Amino acid sequence: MTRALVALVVVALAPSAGCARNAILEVEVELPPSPEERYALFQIRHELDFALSWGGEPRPGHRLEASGTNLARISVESEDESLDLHVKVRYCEDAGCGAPADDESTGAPASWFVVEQPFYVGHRTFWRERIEAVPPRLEPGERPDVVVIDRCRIEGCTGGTPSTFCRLDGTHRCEPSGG
Amino acid sequence: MLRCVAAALVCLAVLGPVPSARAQAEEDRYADAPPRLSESDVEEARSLFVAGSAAIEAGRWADAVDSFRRSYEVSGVPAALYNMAMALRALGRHREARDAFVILIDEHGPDLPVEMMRNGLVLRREEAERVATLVLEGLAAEPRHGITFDGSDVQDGGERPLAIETDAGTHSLVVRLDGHRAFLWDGALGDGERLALAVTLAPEVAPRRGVLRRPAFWIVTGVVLLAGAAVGLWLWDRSQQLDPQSDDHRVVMRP
Repeated sequence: MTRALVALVVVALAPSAGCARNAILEVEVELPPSPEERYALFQIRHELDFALSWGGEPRPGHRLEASGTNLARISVESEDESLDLHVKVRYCEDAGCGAPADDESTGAPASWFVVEQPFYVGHRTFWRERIEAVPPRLEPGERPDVVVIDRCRIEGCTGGTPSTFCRLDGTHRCEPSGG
Repeated sequence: MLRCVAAALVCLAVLGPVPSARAQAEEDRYADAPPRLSESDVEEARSLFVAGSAAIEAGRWADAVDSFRRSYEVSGVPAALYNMAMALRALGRHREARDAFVILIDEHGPDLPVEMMRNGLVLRREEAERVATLVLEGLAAEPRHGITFDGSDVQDGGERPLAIETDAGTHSLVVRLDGHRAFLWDGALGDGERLALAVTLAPEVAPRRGVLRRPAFWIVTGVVLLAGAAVGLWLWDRSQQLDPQSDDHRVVMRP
């Protein structure tokens, strides 16, 4: 009985450092308009080869407006500050990208992003992106260009709208200051 | 020599201050003092007898009782016992006086002078009539009870009802029996009074243990407190974590 109580206390206290152990990246992507019925499906992984099929998503894609833009908001949570995010934005005829024309191997349009180290434990950061237009279909064997989002573009831990979110020494403002 | 000393002791008894003790003045009776007496015993008995007589002269009856008792214990001379009984009587210690007269007559009767014997018989009856008795009724034969009367233990021999002899005055009684609450009595008895006392021993009710004395209470309380603390810590820890702004599209990256 005593051991159980002690174990209960230990289990209760062990994870309770009293500090945040997670980091949140708020993704805000301004999606382009599409005169045709299209959906933007977001697939977010880490360190996974873009050339591979990443499987289905539990959530359907964002419907693109015929004119004007709409904003896709996604919250990504992690406890690992070292992760790089790999993001695919697939433009599909089907909300779940299940149509034959949506098959990546057939050259379905997509945007690929690598977001460098966007997580800082205890901090909320933001990646704001604007996609001007739906990219064209790809030729067989062609791959979309990978857009790398530099870590200094990840907003957070400072006010205003600075051109960079890194200090002069190259560290991100969400990192502890070296000096 | 012993006979001479014994005779002197008798003379002291006869000439002593207790009028009724004058009946002891029969020299022949004291010639039968225990032959084992040594000269020193006789001398001690005589001195004690003289001291007892002097105590009576001074009105110190309790001292007289003590001196005559010790004199009798040393010598076995009935005059000392007689005088002791008379002193006890004067003190109102009728139960002891009666017992002394009983011993006087039962053990020394054939050897007592006629007048002492006659007085002894009368006084024994009178003293017996003045002994007060407390009769304890309602006691179970078994088990034996613990009885304290006037602060002294009374042997419970099993006789029922149990009679306790005493003298007139105020008294206190405590009767104890395992598993029962003690029976207490305080009261007064008059000369020769016989008082029947119904003794009721209520079973002892085990005191209810307060909830604070129950181990189960503390165990449950401890578990509840620990569980509450654990939940509280868990909730507090949760509150320290960052919450996503987008509720409808949330991705958790697993390492």
